[in-house]
Amino acid sequence: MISKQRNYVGVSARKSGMAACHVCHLVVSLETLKDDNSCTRCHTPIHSRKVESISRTWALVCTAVILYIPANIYPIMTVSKLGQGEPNTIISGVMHLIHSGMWPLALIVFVASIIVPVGKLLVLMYLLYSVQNRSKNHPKDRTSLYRILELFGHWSMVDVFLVSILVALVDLGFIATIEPGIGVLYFGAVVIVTLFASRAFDPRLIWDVIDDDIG
Amino acid sequence: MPDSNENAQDSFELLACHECDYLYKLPPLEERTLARCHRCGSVLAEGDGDSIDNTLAFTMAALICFVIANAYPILGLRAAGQEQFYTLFYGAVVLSKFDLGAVGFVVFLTTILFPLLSMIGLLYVLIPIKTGRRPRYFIPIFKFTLALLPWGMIGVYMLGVLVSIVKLGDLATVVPGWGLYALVSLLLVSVAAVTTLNPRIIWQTADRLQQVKSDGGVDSKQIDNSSQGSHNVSLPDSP
Repeated sequence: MISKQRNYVGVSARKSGMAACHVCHLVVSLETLKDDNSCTRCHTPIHSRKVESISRTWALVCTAVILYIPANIYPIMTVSKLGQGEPNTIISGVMHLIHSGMWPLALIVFVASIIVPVGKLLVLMYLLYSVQNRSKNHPKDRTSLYRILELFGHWSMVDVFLVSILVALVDLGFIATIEPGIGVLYFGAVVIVTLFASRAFDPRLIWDVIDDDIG
Repeated sequence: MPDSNENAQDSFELLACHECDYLYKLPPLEERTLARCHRCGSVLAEGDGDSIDNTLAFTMAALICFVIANAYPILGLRAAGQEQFYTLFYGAVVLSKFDLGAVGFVVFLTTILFPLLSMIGLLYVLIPIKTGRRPRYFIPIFKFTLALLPWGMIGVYMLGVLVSIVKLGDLATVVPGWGLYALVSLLLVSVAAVTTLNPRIIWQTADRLQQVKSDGGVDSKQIDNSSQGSHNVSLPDSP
C-alpha cells in the first residue's frame, strides 16, 4: 500500500499547479506547458478538469430521461405465433417472462433494462446536485458510486442485443415471427447517451470542495 | 514537504489520482502490486508483471477467436425438421430490414468493428514494442485504441445470447454453432487481454524507445537508469 510511507504530496495536482493528461495520465506542470497547452507525451490537450463537465453531464442526463419515455411506451419487439401476436414493451416483456415461469431471466432483463439505466440517471443527478451544492459529505462513497456507474453502465445494452439476436434467429419465420419495434431505437439511444453522460462527469469535482479547504 | 528533497534524486513517478486528483510520488512498483489512492480508494497504477507479453498473447488468441466467431454461425433453431442459423454479422444487418438500421449499426460497431479495431490496434502497437522498436504513428494509434476499448461489448452480447437461448427454449430447439464456442473463448481471452493491459507501462516503454532512437543508442547508461520510465519532475512545495 502506498500510504505506509509519505509518498503523497498532500495536495491535489491542481493545487500544485499541475494536471494529469486524461489519455496517458502523464502529470505535467501547467507553467512549463507550451502555448498549445497539450500533453508533452501524447499531444492531447491538457485540462485540469473535464471541460464544462457539469453542464454537459446535465444536458446528456436530461436527453436520456426524455428518450427513456418513448423507450418504454413503444414496443421493442412483436412476437407472433401463427399470425397472432402482441407488441411487447420493455416492462410487458419482463411480465411475460415472469408469467411463463422464467423468473431468473426476468430478473436479468429487469435489472439490465430498468434498474441499471434508471439507477444510473438517478445517481448522476445526485452526484451533479451534490457537486453543485458544494457538499462535503461522504466524498469517498460518492466516488465509489461513480466508479460502480462506469463499471455497469454498458450492461443495459443487453436488451438491444437480445432483440437483434432473436430477430435474426427467427428471421425465416417458419416457427414464429419476431419483429423489432421502434422502442429498441429509443432504448438503444438511452443507453448510449447515459454512457456519454457518465463519461462527461468528472469525479474530481467531488474533491475540489475539500481541497479548497485544505489549501 | 519534509521528504521531497531527500527523494528528489531517487527515481519516482509523479501521478495524480484520476478520480480525486490527489498527487503522488510513486516509487517503482513491484510485479503484480497495485497502488491505490489512500483518499478515494481508486487504483493509481499497477506494477508490471510481463503485462506487454501477456496482453500480446491474449490479443493474438482473441483475434483468432474473433475470426472464427464471425465466420461460423452463433446459434441455430431446429423446428419441423429444418435448421436455420444466424451469424454475428447477420444479427446486425437484419435490423435494417425493419427500418432500424441505426440500431443494427450500433450492434455492428460494438460487437464487431470496435473489438476488431482495438485488437488490431493493440497488435500494431505491441508487436514492434516487443521487438524493441517504437511503431510509426504510435501516439495517434494507441490513443485511438484506448478510446475504443470501453465501447467493445462482447461480454454484454454474450449475456444476450444466453438469455435468448433460454427464452427461445420453449419455442424450438436451440442449436449451438461453432461460432458460439468461439464467442465464449473470445470473451474469456479478451477479458484477459484487457485485464493484463497496462497502458502506463506501454507509454513508458514507448517513451524509452523514442529516447533510444534520439540518442542513437549511444547513451545506454541513461536508458538503464530510466528503466522505470519515471518522469522526474521537481515538485513545488505544498502550501
